[in-house]
Amino acid sequence: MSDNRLHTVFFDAPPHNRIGDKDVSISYGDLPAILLQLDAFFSAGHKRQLHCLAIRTENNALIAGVIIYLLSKNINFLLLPVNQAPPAFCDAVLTFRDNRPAGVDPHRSMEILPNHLFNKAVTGMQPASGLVLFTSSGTSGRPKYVCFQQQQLIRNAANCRERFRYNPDTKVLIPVPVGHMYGMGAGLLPAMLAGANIFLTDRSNIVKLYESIKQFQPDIVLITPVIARMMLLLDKPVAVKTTCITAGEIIKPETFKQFENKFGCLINLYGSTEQGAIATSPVDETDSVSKSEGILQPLPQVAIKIDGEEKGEILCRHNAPFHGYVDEHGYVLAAPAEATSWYSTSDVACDTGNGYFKIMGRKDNCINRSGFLVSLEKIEETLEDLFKMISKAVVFELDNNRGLSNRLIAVCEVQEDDFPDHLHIKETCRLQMTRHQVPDEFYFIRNMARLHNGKPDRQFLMQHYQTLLKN
Amino acid sequence: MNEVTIAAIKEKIKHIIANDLDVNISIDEIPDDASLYDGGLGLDSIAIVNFIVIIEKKFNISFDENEINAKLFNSITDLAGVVHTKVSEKIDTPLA
Repeated sequence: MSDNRLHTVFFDAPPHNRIGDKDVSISYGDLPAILLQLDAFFSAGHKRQLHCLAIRTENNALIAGVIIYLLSKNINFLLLPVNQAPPAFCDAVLTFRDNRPAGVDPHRSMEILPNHLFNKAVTGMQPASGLVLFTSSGTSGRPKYVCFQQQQLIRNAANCRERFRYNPDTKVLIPVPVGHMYGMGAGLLPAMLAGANIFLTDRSNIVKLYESIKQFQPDIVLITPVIARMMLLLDKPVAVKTTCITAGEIIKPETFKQFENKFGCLINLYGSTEQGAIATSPVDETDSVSKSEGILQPLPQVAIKIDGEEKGEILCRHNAPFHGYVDEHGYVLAAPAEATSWYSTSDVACDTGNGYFKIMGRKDNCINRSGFLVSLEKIEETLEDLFKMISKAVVFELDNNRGLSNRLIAVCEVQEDDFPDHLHIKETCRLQMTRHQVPDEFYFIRNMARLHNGKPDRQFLMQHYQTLLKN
Repeated sequence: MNEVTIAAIKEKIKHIIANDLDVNISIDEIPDDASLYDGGLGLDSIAIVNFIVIIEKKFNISFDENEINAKLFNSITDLAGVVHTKVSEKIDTPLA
């Protein structure tokens, strides 16, 4: 097995800069020695010949060394969320030991166990192919395996390094899971490429976050919209003003402005597991209004095209596209994406000029009503803004068997004791929304059915909304 | 404020956990030495934030950002001690 030289870029970092967690801190200068230790660990039992290693990811400093080692040896690996079973294409699972001793001794800190689902006779994955795989829950809740050539993943990370200006003087706090594309592709990898100081915290507990900010004094913190809202609810200043990066659902303009006023610069990152980082809020934009309204600027090396005159599906041409989806046995399902082809993101956006754009919602959450493109997510957002008692709204279209136009149904989670009056809600909607946006029927429920990733379970609600109402 | 009042603070804190947070736990199931998250009651991040906000409101106190740390949530006893100190300070502060 020949080494590739990709990993040597990590050795260019200032040797005293560090990657740490609550128990362990390693310097970039330590990395060559750590890689030797890892080589001894992986050589035992021929683990370097693995078809694919599933890693039960944790936000700890040692994982940085493991990732660099696996990249350097071209060993295929899958970043596996903690609660997910490994797929059959992985022949082994790496787990970090509980109550491991301080330090980086791989033999005492982690173990590799066989995956009994693996069957060498049917696997489509060849050892040492230099593949990195992520799981993506998608909108269906069923995991998909998204495969990258490692060079593409590094290229993706380099785009993030440039946009977020990670450099050796930067201190990056990563409290979001590095097992997902956001934490790995926009956080750990680009920060390591830049030789930045990095601190990883496990689980996004707000108390730990405040402690980590106080101790580490970061310049950049990766958060989620949920963390942003929790910080606003808690209403406590943080120890230092930092730049916060957020990814995931769109943050409402008012929330965005409140956050920037209280905590400093907020940058919204738009991307996906398949494409990695695609665009961000304009980082040099001083006008916080346009930032808060969700204006996005593509990353360097990423081109965006709106499939329509003013609004339509976002097509993306990335310098670092993913290789394809793989099935349970490691066979590539879709033809590998090429850098020259346009990738359909399934998101809908409007062109805001100057090469910027603004997300309107998922394509499958947009409908055509009397010739008008209507974003269901926009309606949901408006309902949640207009009616404070509605904590979450899900809007969908149902076929009308009577040959009339389809019905627009709104299922709303209400936290207050009394459900609101349908007529009042509808009347207010008529005043505040366009005719095509007003739902035909409203249903109020106590608890929204959700997927394990916290998003509302739209399929379930579409099938069962009337039953839920009766319970 | 005497020991009985600290006991009352503990009871009130337990009442908040059992009744005001979206957690499935009864007052009887909350020991004084229970940690509020890791390895204890296991309150998640959202519950912790709601908990802090409710504690501040119901005791009419405010935690300094430096006090928002794991130590504060080590146990009901520790938290009651901090709340007790803050409530006492408010009582002892003369009106301007």
